[in-house]
Amino acid sequence: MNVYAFLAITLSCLLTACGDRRSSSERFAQDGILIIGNNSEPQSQDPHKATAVADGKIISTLLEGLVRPAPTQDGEVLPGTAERWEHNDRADVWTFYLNPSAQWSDGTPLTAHDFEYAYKRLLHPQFAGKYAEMLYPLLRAEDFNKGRCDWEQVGVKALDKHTLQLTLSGPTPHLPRLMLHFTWFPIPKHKVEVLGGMLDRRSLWTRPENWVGNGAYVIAEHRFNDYLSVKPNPRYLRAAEVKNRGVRFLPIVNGYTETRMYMGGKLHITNNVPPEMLAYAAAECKQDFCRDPYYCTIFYRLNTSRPPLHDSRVRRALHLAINRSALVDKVVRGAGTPTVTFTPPGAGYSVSAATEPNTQAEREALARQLLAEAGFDGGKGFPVLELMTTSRDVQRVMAETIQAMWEQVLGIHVDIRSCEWTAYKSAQQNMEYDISSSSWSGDYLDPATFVELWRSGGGNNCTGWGSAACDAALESARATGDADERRAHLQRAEELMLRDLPILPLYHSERTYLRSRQHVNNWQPRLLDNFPLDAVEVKP
Amino acid sequence: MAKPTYTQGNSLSKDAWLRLSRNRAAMTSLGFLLLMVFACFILPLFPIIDNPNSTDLNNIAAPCSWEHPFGTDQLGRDLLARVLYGGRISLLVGLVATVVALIIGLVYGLISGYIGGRTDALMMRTVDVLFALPFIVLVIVFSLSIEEPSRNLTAAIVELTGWRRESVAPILGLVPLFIAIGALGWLTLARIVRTQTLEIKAQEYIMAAQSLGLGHLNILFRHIAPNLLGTVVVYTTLAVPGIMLTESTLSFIGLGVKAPNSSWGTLIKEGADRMEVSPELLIFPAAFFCLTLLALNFLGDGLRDAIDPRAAKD
Repeated sequence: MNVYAFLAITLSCLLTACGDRRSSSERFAQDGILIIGNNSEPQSQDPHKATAVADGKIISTLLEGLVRPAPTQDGEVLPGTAERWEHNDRADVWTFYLNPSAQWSDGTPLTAHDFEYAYKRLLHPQFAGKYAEMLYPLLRAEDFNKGRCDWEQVGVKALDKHTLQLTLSGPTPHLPRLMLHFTWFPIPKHKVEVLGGMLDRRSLWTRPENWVGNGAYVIAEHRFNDYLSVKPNPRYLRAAEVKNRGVRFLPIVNGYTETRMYMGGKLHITNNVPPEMLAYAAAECKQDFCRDPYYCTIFYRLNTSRPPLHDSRVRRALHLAINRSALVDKVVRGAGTPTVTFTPPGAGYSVSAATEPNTQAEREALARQLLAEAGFDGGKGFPVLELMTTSRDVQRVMAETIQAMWEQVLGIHVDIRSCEWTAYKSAQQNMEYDISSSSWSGDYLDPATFVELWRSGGGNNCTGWGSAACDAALESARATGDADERRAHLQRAEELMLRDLPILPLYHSERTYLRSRQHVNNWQPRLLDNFPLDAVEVKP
Repeated sequence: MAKPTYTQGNSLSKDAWLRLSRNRAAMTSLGFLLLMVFACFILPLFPIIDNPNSTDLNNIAAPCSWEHPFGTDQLGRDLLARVLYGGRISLLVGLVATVVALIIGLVYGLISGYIGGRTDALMMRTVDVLFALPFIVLVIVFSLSIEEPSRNLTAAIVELTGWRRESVAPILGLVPLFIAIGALGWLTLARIVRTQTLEIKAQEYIMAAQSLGLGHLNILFRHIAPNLLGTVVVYTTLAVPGIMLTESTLSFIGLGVKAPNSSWGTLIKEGADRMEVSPELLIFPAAFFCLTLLALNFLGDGLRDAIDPRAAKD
């Protein structure tokens, strides 16, 4: 090749590279593909292994349960894989009739046995699913999960290929709303059986090359720490109704980076704008800046199995010493509501916390007194606890604020350890922490999604705390069919928990994010942040 | 008849100093570094500098003022104080880790070069193998694995001396980092020292010392080591910036110093996140860090020219 040919080729390459000046959000919008920021690298696409919100968002595009969320309104439920359902008068026996044309993305017909198989897998004591308690409303599900009975006694029965009968432990009129959560989704029995079987936690069936699903999309490509993209599933029941031609999820933990990427035209929707950027983002992005209510609580878990946190006086001292209004005002910059209770209020649910002084000065005085009663007068002799946070900037800043408050008010010092997401998650689940900066967003629109967390030994409890009275209240809530009575039981359970304080509630957070109005149409805020992505229109 | 004039001969070190003092860039850098050491280590002892960890939520992200010359950060902490205390940690890590690396590298290189033969080959192949391993990953693994013992050490020291934990912990918390960076950063130095040792070993005065029956240790430390000094000093000044950069990299990814304490690395990370909102948080620590690195490099260059004229580029 002579020099001129080489030069010509180089030059033409350069020119084509310069030619496309459109940002990637414009290019992807042209192809009808939505790019969204999705917080963290997904842990798993297996609905029985995932626990994080980021995983849930991806799984909800790949699999579909018996019902699906309506794009029109919060909490409204549309037929999904089931075309209709009915229940008895007590609402404790439900029969779902599957759509006979439902099939998996490889063409295998989808049957009621796939659902039965999925529920058995999640509840199986040997599988140790962290989210198993989501299925506890099923009759004897908890007993089976704890190895106390056989699967045949659990209230799940595939009557025939297209009929699934669920028997519940108590009246549950809101069952369809629970079922919007990915733990109620089916898994492809035929595929899982071939790739390691039901109980193989390391099965590779969720790998892109093995993936078989029944959702609006199938996995197109997964590049670790880069993106996970999904493309429309042609065999989806309502394939014609899918409004876009794919979604690309970017795992961006740092909200600053994400906001900057949005402004640089690399995203259509972001996951989160950090508090310190709120004013700036609102001014820069104007109507693209969204601030929506969210069903979510930010709190600190305390490891009650370790001294001195096993002492409820110490826990209450830590609780009282936090100035929540200053925290929300200055650190969260108003994107939340300070709280001393756990479940976000709403729909008649309200909990009265244990009686506490009103002014912050009195609270602090009481905190010092309680710490002294526990044997650490003025913080003397108090061991150095470790406060674990994820590497998110807002969590670190919040931790530093609370660290300073405790130091100032109680004279105790805590160390801050910021961990990468997976390390954080596993330390929390194995209870290898003292204090853990946590958040919980509702899985369904009902206070139970918050209160059920504190069942003794629950998979997401992770505090070592449990009380028979609280468990009993949760049990009565489950057994009753009366909505008011149920609410009262749940409130009682939460009050019992708050009396012991295995956690320090901090604030109910809002969702602040950016959404391109130019490219994204038909997007609506959701309290659970579960808007069906297949209903989102992408325009160039 | 004219009386012969005798000029006093200059010693080698005086010659070097003369050459260095004629290098304006190096002298300015030296002055700047001394100033920086003063500002970071001496100045905070006086009450004119705020406590770098005292938060003031009513005064967050304040701009520059007389009270806070660099403004305050996202929690209302004085940025000047944080930059100075951060410099303390960054400089300390740079220095201590370099000394650790220096001791290991010097001894290793000396032994390898002096003994020679198979031992030399074995020792140098070991260095080659270590060179092939990814440095940052090793430092991370190493510093995590000695975190627990070092925490126990902190507790023990607090118990023994009765000092306040808050004043001891920021420095002692860095011990894993010192050891990790130092213990893995000696490889280049070991190679340099070995080559130099090989060269010096062949000199006549070493043969003379050997024929006089001097012991190996004596020869190593009385005759070879002092002749390596120039090379080692130069290498050290040039290695410190590299090690400070490693520290800031580690702090940047969340290892290294623990909050609420800061080093220049963590300050720069926090500032970089907020650069649109409050640019001072990035500009000041970054300026301090860059200038210090630049000064160290200039000084290293000047020292090389001064001590070892043959190695000078021009």
